[in-house]
Amino acid sequence: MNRKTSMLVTTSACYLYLIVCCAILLLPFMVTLVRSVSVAQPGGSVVFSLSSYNEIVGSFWPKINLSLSISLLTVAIDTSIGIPAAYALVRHDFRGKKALFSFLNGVWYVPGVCYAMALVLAYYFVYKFFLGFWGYVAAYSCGFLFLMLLTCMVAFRHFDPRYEEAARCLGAGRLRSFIRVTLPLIGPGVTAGILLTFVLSFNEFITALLLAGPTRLMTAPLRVYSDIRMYGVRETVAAEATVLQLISLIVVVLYLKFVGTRYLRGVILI
Amino acid sequence: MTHVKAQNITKRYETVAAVNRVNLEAEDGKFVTLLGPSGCGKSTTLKIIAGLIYPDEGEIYFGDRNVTELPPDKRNIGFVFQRIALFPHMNVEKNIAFGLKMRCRTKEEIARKIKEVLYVVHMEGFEKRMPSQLSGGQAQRIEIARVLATDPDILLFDEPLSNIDAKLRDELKYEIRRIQRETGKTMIYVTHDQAEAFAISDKIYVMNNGSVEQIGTPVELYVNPITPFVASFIGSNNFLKGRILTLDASTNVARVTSDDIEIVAPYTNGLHMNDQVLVCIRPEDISVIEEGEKSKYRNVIQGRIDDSVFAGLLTRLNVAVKGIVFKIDVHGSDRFSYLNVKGKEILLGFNKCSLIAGATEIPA
Repeated sequence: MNRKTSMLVTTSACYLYLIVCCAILLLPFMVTLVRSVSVAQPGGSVVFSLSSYNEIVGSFWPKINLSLSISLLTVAIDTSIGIPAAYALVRHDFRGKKALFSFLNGVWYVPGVCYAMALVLAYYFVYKFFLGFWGYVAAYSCGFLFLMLLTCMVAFRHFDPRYEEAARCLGAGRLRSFIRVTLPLIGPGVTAGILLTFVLSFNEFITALLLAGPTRLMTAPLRVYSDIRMYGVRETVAAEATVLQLISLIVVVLYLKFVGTRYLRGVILI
Repeated sequence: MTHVKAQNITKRYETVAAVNRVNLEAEDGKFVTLLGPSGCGKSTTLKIIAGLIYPDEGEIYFGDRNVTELPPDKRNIGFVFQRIALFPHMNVEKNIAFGLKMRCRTKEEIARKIKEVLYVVHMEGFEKRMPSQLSGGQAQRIEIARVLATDPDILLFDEPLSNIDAKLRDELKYEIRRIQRETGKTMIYVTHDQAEAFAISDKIYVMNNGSVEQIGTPVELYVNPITPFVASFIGSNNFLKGRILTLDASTNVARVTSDDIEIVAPYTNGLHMNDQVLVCIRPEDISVIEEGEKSKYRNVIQGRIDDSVFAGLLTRLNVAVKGIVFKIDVHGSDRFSYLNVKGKEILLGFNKCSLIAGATEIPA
């Protein structure tokens, strides 16, 4: 085999490997998508149709709306708490700082269901008044705050304080130097936290499952789950699942296009 | 222009005093340098003056104004950092405009000022460049332009040239001096590089272990170091531990004995008989002499060349004199005559040397 042929074989093998990887990652999405547009006719034949999407518009959109509202509020609350908290944790030394960092990292090793149960216990049995929509927001904000905190802390650790010092020496007060210099420079790191908080809270299932009982509110992922249990894998359920995946996919693709993976590296999940 | 005064400033980190009761004064329009090895507290002192670090004790005055409690943004200072601190998300123009916007200047004024300061640092035409598109030297010039634009009362430099290659560093230090002369601003400059400090300063504070060891002009520090640290840190020196034998007040000449070597040295400070002193002799002040030239020198000693190293401008000889090795620098065309002379017996003559009172240890 000459050098040219060998190069060709290697390149083909690399492409094949990438295609297999992509297929494995995209397969569940593709299968769901195909199922959602394959409508069975009375005669037994299967035809391509978007009718299932039409069918779910009325019933599924309010759930999507609810999930989006909860996620966006969660992101807003976690961002406003996470940025100043991360700044304080990174910049200021205090007794027990290392222990606190270990604790924050340790959150990821707690099984999701245990964590969700703890949140439910806290927000249902302890604060009964915190039920309904705001119960979700409170539970999600609390649950995903660590994620926002960690990404912001990574961003602040990469941020050289000399820029802030330079801004101060040039006449900017604390707040102005933070808004004009620090925030634009840590922006990509913060958006990594926003992205992860949004996607994970939008798709959060375990906490929602436990909260849905007392609150009787059903988020979009929960609706998909209950429809699967009730109707099986019908085309309308597949359509619901496809819409849910598409929203997350679009957000992630937009983030990767505009920011890239740089600020996701420091996060333990990735 | 502002007269800067720091009184008894102290900053401790846990139990270690990074800056210990430092008094500093920079007169109107003067170029003052803090010189010392890394970790001596010079940068901390500068940051205390800037307001970036709050001192545990002491006060800072800009003119008659006590600024100790003021944050950096209320001090009207310009600070040039060791590592380039141009905001990476703004182009040159926006970087320079930043301080002016903070001072609520009009658009026309900002545009005029940008042109003006870029002209001063010889960087016209770079307005739209991003900091990542500038070389180290260019970025440092822009950083100086950025602080000049705000018309600060004082300019503070924290080792601005330490990350720049040698040739450019040489160029920029004179550039900074030129800017200081043209603008007439009070400048405080921190460096560990003695040559840099000597080239640009009106007054130098030599710092060590958080304290000021000596204050003086470059010439004063070089000719009359008053502590062993200054004598060893500034330039090269030969040290001898000695004891005063006689003092002649009429000629201000002291006779010092150091082991078997007797040295005659000029003195100006209040020395007494039998005082312990450290004799400092610069390698360039010692000459290799002929028998007939003995009368020209106060001190003549005999030694044997142990080693010679050719270093371009000079040849450094290591000469053993009664068990002590003397460093001697030979300049001029004579330097080529001492390339392979190991073991040769020679006569050394010198007139200049300085005495440091009370010093009992030879500095490392």
